[in-house]
Amino acid sequence: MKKTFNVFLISLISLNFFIGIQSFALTPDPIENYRLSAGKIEFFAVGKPSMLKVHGTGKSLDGSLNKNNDEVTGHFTVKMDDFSSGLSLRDSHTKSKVFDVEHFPTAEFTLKSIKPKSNVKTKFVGVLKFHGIEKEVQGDTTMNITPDKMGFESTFTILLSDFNIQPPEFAGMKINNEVSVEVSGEAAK
Amino acid sequence: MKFISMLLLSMSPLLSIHAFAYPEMVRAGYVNCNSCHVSMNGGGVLNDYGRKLSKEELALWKNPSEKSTEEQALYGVMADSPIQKWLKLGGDVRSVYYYVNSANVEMGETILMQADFQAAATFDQWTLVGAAGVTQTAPGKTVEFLSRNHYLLYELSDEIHFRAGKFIPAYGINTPDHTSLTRSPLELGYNYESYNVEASYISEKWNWFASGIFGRPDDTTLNQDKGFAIQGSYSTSERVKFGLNTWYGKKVDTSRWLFGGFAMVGFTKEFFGSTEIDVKSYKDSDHGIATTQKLSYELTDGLWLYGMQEYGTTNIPATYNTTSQVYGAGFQFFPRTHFEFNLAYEKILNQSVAGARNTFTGMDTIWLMSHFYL
Repeated sequence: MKKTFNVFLISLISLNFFIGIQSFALTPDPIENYRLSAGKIEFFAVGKPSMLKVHGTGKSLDGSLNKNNDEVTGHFTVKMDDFSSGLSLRDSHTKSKVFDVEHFPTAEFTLKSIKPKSNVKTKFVGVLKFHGIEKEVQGDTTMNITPDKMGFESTFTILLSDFNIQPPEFAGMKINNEVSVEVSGEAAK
Repeated sequence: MKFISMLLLSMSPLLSIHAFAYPEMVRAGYVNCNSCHVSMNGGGVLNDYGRKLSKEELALWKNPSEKSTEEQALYGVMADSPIQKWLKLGGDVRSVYYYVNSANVEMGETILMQADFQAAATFDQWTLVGAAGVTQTAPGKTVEFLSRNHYLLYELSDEIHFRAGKFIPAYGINTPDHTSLTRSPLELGYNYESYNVEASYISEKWNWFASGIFGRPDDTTLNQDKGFAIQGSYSTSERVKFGLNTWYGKKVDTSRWLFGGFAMVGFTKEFFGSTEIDVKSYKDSDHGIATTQKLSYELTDGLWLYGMQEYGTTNIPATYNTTSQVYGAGFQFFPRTHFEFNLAYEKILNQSVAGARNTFTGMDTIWLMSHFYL
């Protein structure tokens, strides 16, 4: 009886040990890091009085996303000198006199934790540091999540006055205070 | 000789005035005419932004310095003056050489189309706009004085404007190609300016124009329309615009309705297309359609290649039918701000049926238009 019990105990310990090893081997690092491999940021503003649509694009978006189980956080940086709206004089005016790229060469965005489902629009909150001022912003994002990659398309709106920027004026065209921003990209492990 | 006179008469619109607006700028995202012009529906005096665009978007060679004032009126002699803030100046000097070849005639002529001075003075929400100049409507004709437009514009808000005076009411695409079958043959556009009152609403997506048309009370012999025009257009994206419009005009001896639709599409930043179709119906008289299509491609900064096609019919029941077809291609060249050249070839085919008589005529035209704007 005692022998039978010892065999059972040893078997149980061995099984536990084996399961423990298996558990240890199968549980990955809970935080997965995805580095941005491609991305762009676009802004859409309206100029008055002719209701001109100004569309600017920056392709120097850099950053990463972190996935912890089903929670995603991230941090992005964009060079403000990289933006182009298709009109060089307007761009140089905007960069020097509005963005003040000499003193604020980059803008940064920190994504607070969200729990996105793949291809489902999700609300997000983040902190945008732009023109030297940090401000919380809210928007929508749609993420395409695979084991190796995360693609995303996000939109949010800012008020230039929140970042201590007077709505720019160029050759009589005054840009509205409200500016829509679209960010898209793909990050890979 | 009679034929030549008739030919010149039929070509008279070609020899007359362009007051420039460039719908092609839609491909660069400028769907609203007042992005560049003081006038809500385009043409005439440029605003400051239009001046900048004339340098950046149109010109091949340009001074890249932000401090350069070469694009401004009179090359910027008033650039540092406070007057510049409220007074916008402009002007056009334009001539054309044209060559015509048909079965009956071959000829070439040069004509001064326009030498105009324009000004727009803004005081608070009011803007007074006027143009004065000379034109030569046909070879051999004396130069005549005229004021193409003069009006008072009131800005109620960024979106809503009112104006009264002499100008072109909004209908169809305000193209400088006024020889188009959708312009002069329909008595629309340049050379058909009239006295009007207008209310306009310009938003991001929508443009609305409502015009009351009072004809030409200063010259009733012209027998121009009195009536109204309404136009609505919608921008589906930053480079696409669709519109519909209607026009009612009453003359001394008849009245007419026009109904039309148009589209301007920037397929890419370089590739532009436009189309317009209009149906005309005169009371107890002719009816018909007119349509024009144009494709334009920016080969490089300041050089556009374009092709166009037009088709028009006029039918007077049981009396007279005409069909016109036009095929053309050309280059528009903007070497440096203030200068434009337009070289074009057009093949014009006309068929007229009057009773048992069926007549075909064909004509080849080549023209080179030279344009300097102040």
